Amino acid sequence: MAENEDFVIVGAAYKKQVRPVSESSVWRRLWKRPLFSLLVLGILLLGCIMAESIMNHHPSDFYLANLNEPPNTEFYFGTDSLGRDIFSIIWYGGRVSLFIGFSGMAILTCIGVFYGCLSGMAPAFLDNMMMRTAEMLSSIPNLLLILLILSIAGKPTPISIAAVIGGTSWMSLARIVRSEVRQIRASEYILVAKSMGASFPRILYYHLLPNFLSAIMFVVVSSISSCIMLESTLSFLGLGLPVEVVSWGSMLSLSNKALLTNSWWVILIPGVFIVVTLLCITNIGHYLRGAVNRRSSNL
Amino acid sequence: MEKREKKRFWRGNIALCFIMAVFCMTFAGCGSNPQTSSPKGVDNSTLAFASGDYTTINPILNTHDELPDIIFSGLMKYDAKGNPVTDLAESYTYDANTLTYIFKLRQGVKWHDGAAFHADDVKFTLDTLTQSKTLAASITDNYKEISSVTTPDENTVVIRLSKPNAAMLNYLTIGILPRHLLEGKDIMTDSFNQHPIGTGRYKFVSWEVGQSVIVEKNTDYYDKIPQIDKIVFKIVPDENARALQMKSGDLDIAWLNAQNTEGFRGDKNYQVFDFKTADYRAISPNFAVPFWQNNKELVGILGYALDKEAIVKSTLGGRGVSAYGPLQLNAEYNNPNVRHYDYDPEKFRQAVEALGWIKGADGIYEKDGQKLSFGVDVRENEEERIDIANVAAQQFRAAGVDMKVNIIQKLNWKTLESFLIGEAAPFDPDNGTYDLFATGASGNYTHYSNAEVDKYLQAARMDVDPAARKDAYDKFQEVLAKEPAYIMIAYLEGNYVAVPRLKGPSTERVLGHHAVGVMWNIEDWTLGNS
Amino acid sequence: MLRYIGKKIGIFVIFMGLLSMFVFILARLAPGDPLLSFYGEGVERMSTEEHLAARQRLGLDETLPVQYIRWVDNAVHGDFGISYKYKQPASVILMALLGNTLLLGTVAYVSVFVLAVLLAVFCTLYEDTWVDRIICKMGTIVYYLPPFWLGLLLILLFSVNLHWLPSGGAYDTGRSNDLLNRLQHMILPLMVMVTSHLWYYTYMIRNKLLDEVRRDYVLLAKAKGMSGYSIVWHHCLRNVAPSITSIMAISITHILSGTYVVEAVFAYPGIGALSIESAKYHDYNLLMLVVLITGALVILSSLLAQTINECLDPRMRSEGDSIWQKMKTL
Repeated sequence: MAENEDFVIVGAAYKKQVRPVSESSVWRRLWKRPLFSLLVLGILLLGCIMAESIMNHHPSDFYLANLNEPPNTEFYFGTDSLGRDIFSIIWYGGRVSLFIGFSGMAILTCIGVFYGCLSGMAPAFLDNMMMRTAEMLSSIPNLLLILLILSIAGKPTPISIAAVIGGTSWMSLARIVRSEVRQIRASEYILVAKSMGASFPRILYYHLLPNFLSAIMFVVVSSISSCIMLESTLSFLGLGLPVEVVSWGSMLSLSNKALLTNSWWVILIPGVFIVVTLLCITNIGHYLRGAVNRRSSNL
Repeated sequence: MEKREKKRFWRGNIALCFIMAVFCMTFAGCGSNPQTSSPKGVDNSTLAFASGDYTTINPILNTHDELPDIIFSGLMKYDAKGNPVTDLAESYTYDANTLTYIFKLRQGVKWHDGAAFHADDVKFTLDTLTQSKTLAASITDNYKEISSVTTPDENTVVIRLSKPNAAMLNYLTIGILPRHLLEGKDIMTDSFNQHPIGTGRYKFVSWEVGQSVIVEKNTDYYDKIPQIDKIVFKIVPDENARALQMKSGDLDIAWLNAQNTEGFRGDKNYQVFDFKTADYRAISPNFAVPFWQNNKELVGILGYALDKEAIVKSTLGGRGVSAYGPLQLNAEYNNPNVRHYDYDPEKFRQAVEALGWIKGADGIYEKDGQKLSFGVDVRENEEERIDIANVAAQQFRAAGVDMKVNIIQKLNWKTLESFLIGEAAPFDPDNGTYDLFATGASGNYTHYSNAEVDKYLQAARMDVDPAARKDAYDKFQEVLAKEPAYIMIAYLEGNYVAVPRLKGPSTERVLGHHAVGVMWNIEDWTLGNS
Repeated sequence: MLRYIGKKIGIFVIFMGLLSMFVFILARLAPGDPLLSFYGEGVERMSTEEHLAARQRLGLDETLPVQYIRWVDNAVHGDFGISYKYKQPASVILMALLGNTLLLGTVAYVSVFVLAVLLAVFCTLYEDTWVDRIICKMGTIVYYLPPFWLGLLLILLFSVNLHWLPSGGAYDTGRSNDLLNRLQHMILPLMVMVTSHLWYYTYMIRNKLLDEVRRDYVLLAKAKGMSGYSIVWHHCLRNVAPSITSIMAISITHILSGTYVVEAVFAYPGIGALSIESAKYHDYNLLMLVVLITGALVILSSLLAQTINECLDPRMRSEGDSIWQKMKTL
């Protein structure tokens, strides 16, 4: 901006670069910092953790006298065609969904960071091999890969689903980590650490990680969303959790059944919960990526 | 400068305009010719039928499907009541002393490819069923009593049995395969299975894998020629997708589950055919495991703890009846005067406590340190059974019985404690009783064994005289009710939704498993103008 | 040049070999009975000897390496075995459905990228105005709608209530060559495919463009009096083209994965549904073929993108990395 000052004067009616001055507005600041998202996500998390004290019906019971009831004072979110209370199972299901989201993220981050660093620090030949392997894995459509591995793993549980989703989605993270590592691996401090005999985990933890943490933060956080999304897709395709374990995904896939019975609450409520959660997580991810400090546009 | 601003604005908006245009086109596409996609109005003699997926069309590989039924025909066929009557056979005689059937075949019957139908074809088919090494056992089991098939002349088939089998005529309803196309080929993998040639009411025309199978009427058919020219079997395996396609007008008739059918009732644009089916659901204890060996007497009593009406109402949307016996819907052979075990929690409490069970602190009955607890296995892809099992488990828990629902991928009859079984006995009472309840029979996975049951079933199988058979089946049902093999739950209804211009489907026939058999009188169906 | 092509072919062959071995082992490790899909329910009533004999007939009794070598031997000669479920050559089954998926995939692919570039250019031109912000917000929300759920809602609206579009299938029976009819069936699946992928790519391209318009040459062009539109359209877009082709190469797997879900929702007969089914029921031969075709498609497109990039920007050739490794950000 400053160095362009002269230039602006030359072009008489040139686009005026007026900075917005409403910076200080409270709402704007709230919007900039994802307080709202944090709040909503916090409420959702708390609700799921304390599902037992929130719910007013047993989540696995069938209220045979109240089939397909729209939301009312007894069943806040209505009941489905078998008389299950949606309000109660939403919190229970959220527990499973969020668990899969967070632990899937943890697993893929561990694998991705470790693999990426190893590959980045390795000699060119090995690095190339490792990256080609990852590339090959990512060339199999991930649903198919997950399905293959799940069928070996036996009966799916939330843990195995999270492990499989995490174990098949780390490739792009590894690639980013590797390219970051390759940029800093020749730095003096790493050479020094190496020559002083530091082990690979030590270098990884003390020297590499802090340097690329901010670069991968967004990918890591948004991978929670993609894990939750993948789980719901698996449930929809009938490949996910067994029917007795309820998650938002399996609730959403049940909405398939409700399409013709006009029970909008069965279709809409789990969908709204899942979309709101994903949006909140993404919003926080965007914030963590750090404000993209772009100069003003040259256009 | 002003002008440039404007120009830039417009240039910039070209992108937007383009996007808008694409969307507009998308929607214009939606609006144009909506009618061509629906079977209505195009050709009033094409029927679109919602079908499950097919991998083969062959009467001895698909034992339970609609298409082989209308493309092929057998020596016998079922009438409206489910009794076997002659079809490819003109007449038959049976000599009880020599256990020999002699069939006189219809003359002038032609295969769909124009070749003449001979007695050789019958011999070929039955020989395949009794001798083929590549066929799976379940298919061939019903024919193991056939000791020889001979063809004295082109129009006569002589079938000798090694043991009497009163249901043999039923089993001879199986479609006859053309020898001239299949001899010496592998019946499992031959391309015939994708290009079937039969003698039935409809001819195979084309097949698009995963999309549709088209058949057209056989104008050379030897009996009443069907009126609907063409039937398109649209492959829509998913129940909900079927309901949606019915609603959007892509289908003329479809089998829907009870809950989806509700949405069509009372709508003047649709008609609903409620078929009875012989398809029932029950909890079948495995008598090979210790729990049931020691507690045989519980099987009947547990029936008192199940509110079958409530199960029908919730899991089947009210479309079904509570069940008490395996022959309940057999018009001729049912014995309604047997013990029913209807829902009665008080009776359950008395009966179970009379056996020495005492309610423990957790509300579950106990005896000698053993809990009244067992598992029930359900296969993962059978949604309605899972629902039934879950609701039943809840009712059991309320009564003090702990039933755990295990959702599994593959059955293992050696270890499972009980199974949510689905069986159907739509035709001859032998089919669906003998193989399930006789000691050591091929379908008796539950290891049920009762000497009296064996005796009556054997008698009924051997006896060809209807009155004597009826008597034997009456006694069989009484004995079975006293010492039940299954905890009976419900009979399902088969709900077909159709467009109003379709006339002819008759709910007279009791359908089989998965409501198969709706096309039993396809020759009487007509399609009016839309 | 010959060496260059030879190297690419070498990479391709090695890749396919590894992929086939990987899937072969993985598929066969899974517990479950392939006979079930061959014989259906009847397999439960088979005796042990019958079961053994049946396995022998299908060549399933050999050790894994022997089975694999036999498979490779046959595959090289063009025989991919029979599908257990359909009891026909796997290649016949695949060919019947491959066209449907390719058509849907290609149309979706092209529309996603055409729209993504246009939207990205639009957002760049109007950076930080209300239009841009609304598009960004809307894009994020739409991106996070679960695609199968969106599909169900679209069916409910357009097929069930409005009767405008068919709710499923690839074409009306007997009209497989009627392009208009096919298009009509593709509209809803396309809408889902486009909405679930569009924003992801728009956002990437938009970010690239936003960085690009801050370069000095833009200022120069501006000074020369070029309009913003033509700067972005003629200069910036060309400069980010290598990035876009890289993104496009990587996105093929994503969009293929997308067709799996869409095919399930709209009962669209294609290889997505086929591969899920064959993996679920251990239809080994079919599964292998589906995975290999998918893999080949992905590798070929990656090699193609690399070649295009090298033409666009010869500097790319010097490094040995594959296009996948060169992708800087997501």
